[in-house]
Amino acid sequence: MSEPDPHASVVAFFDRVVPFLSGQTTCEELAAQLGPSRSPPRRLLFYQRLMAANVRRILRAVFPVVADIIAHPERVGLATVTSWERLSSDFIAAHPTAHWSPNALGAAFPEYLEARVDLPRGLADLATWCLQLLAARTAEAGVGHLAAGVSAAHHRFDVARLTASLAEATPGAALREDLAAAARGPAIVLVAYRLPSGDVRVLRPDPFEVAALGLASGEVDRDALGALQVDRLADARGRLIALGLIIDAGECG
Amino acid sequence: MVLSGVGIGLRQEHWSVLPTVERQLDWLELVPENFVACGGKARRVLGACHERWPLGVHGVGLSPGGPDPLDSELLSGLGRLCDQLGVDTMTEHASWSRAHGRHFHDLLPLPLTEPAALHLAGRARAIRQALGRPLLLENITWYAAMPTGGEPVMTEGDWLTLVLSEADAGLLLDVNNVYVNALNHGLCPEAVLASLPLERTGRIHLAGHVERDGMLVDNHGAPVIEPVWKLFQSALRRTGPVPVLVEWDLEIPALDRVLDEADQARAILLDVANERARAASPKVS
Repeated sequence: MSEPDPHASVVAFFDRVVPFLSGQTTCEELAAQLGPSRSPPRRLLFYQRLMAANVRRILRAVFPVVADIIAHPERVGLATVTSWERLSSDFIAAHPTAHWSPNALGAAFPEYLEARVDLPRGLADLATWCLQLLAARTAEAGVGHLAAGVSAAHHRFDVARLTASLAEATPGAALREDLAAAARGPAIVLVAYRLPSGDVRVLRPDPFEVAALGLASGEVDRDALGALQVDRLADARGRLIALGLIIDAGECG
Repeated sequence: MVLSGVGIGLRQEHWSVLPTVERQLDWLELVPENFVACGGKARRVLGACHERWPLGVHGVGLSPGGPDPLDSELLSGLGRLCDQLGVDTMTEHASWSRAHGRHFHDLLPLPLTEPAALHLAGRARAIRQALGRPLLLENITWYAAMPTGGEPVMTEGDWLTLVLSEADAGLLLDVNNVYVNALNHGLCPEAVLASLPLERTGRIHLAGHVERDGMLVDNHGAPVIEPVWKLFQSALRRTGPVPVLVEWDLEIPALDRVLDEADQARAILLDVANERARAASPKVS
């Protein structure tokens, strides 16, 4: 497969238009470099804004919980650090991806969040969880690359459907409530993801439920819980079984 | 596998109902990137559809007009899928999506210049050769004329004619894109249609669009509007019968609603076929 070398004017076009579409240069700079467009500047800006919107929407679709927290930090007792628009833009500038699948766009997002010392700790963990959920759901659908065009012009990839389901499966509101509750004082928030269904359960376990989980996982010896009331521990175990977080065989869900 | 009549896109929203639908449907078009390396439910649905209907593919990820080397892994996957499904023609867009190591996940226009046309044509030839099957390129929507760096500007019709002749490729005529482009750039849709290399048309796409901020946006998220149906009829009179696809990719309604659109397209297709048959038959005095 041989591809011809592009003409100098084609090379110049891409050299100039990529920074423009990436938001690094302005319409005026583009016009100075390549000559004016026959279209008004607002039409060229449409493309620049569309490309930024594509990144925001793809990342929001894959990382809905992270996007929620960045957009509404007050709900979890945090101060505003940045906007989703700015975070998406900074991320893609640092980690552009050449892969055709939008699902690959956020592969480095957890790593990027971890490196951002100005962001709340824990966002990288949530982002990693979102990626794991995405991977599990693509596996469940039997599709290796659930990609998506999410712009106005290009919706035919499947991530739009995938992420609609992801958003439904992701307990955005419930998690926010739990994180908000956690922000009022020390608390444990348990987010449980069940394979292969993809069901997500969120729970703020009380001490008896924590103990029951510890026992069920085999990590905690019953003798170590001697002071806990047996009947309340049994009740907690029952609640966890009913929620599907523990199965009767005693394994953690 | 020869396509004819009117098809719709294979979309996940319809996976559960499509394989058992009883209404007329002549063929299905899939976005092949969604099915390269697929298994499980996706493979089962695809298999069930493959048993019932001829399949066509419409690629969106190859970036035919881009400057970066073609993605050989994706090309290989697409070739394997086409072989498995018995698909004899590949389709893509007269656009680019990836440059300088960044994929923009959209269908972006090239400058309407001769060097850009020849660049796209050369890459289209390479795609055709790599896949070992004919290639149709779709006329895309373009919301702004890309700056040309001083190169003379061509009309879209002349530009596409040059691209397709140099690439030895066919035209996937998107009638809605003709309409949207014409109105967005103050042109007559019929004149734009007539300027395209319609003799190369191998397939027609139909879709809906929306108006945003004084501009028409091809979002594939609405019914086909009446002026586009009329333009479709006009196109068919020039191209003759070709496979037609109704695209609905955003805010996808129930399958029956999409099939209603397909029925309307089929009725027009039949009307035009009858017109042509009457015109071709000897007149009795």
